[in-house]
Amino acid sequence: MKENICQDISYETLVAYADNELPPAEAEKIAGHIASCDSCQEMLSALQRSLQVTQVIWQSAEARWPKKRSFKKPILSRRLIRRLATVAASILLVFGIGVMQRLLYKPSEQITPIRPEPMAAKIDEIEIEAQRAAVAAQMLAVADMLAAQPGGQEYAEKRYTYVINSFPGREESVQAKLRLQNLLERRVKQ
Amino acid sequence: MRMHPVFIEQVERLRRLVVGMGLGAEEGEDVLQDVYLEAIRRPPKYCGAEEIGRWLIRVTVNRCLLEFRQRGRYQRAAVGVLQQWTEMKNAPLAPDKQAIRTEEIEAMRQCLSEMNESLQVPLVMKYFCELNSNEIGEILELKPGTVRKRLCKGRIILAQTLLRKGIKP
Repeated sequence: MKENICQDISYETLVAYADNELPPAEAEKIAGHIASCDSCQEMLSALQRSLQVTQVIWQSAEARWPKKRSFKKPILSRRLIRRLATVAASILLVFGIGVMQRLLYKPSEQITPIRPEPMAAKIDEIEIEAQRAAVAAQMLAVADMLAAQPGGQEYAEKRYTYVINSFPGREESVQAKLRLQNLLERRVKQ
Repeated sequence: MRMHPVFIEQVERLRRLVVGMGLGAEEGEDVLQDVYLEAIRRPPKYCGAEEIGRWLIRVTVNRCLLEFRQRGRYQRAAVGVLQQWTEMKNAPLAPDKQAIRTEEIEAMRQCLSEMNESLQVPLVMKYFCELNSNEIGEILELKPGTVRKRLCKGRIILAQTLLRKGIKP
């Protein structure tokens, strides 16, 4: 693009004149020049006409728009809707496959599920508990025997500690704690 | 500052901006809806309605530019534009004038669709959205002098297109 339309006027001045943005004195001067300059006249007309046509294009496009559309924040965002749709489609697919399988492969006989007997489970628990009690009592008895032996106090202490740590909350554990305390007190006195 | 009333206040201007940038009604509505959601979800950290208005225009311009790269612009034929125009004005044209007008519209449509975005955006803002050079400069983060230069360049390109096509205004 050339900088000037003619020697006297720049493009920028001509555009400002076409848009009525020049101060009155300068506008008058430019008008005087344009009246005597063919190239400036031609360009000024082209500037005005091209803007008119461009505005026709814009206004015509604007007229095609639906008027008064309301803008509301959607309850669900597009992304969330897409995710939900994906999940729903997956559920439907799985459900559909299940239904198809049932229809195609009907089971010949009804299989009843084997339910575990609740009583059997309880008996198992009682047995385990009884075994633990027996072991605890045995360990405590062994510790007592060791404590009664000369020089066996150190081993007895270890046994009592083991019973305390291994069977917390049991009667044997409480007993072991008391006997350990006695043992330690006896050693301090000696 | 609540966003909804500011958006509603600015929506006509934003619509003009989208139209002026050459998007069709359908894509344009999508753009405005996206701008609205953006404004509601991530509003700017300004407090004045004026600043929010400028921010909305800037977001709309950027969203339109993104849309161009995906779809193109000014896809409507000149005949359709002229038909719409005569219907709006309720003034049918004589056949010879209609032919000239169609040629002019087609030339301008082609020119706008090929025009650099940096020139087109200020043109739309000034001559369709009625913003002045200072306001355009603030929105696009340009100096007013730069805006004026771009406006001038855009106007000259449009005018020269008419002259080159041999259409005497």
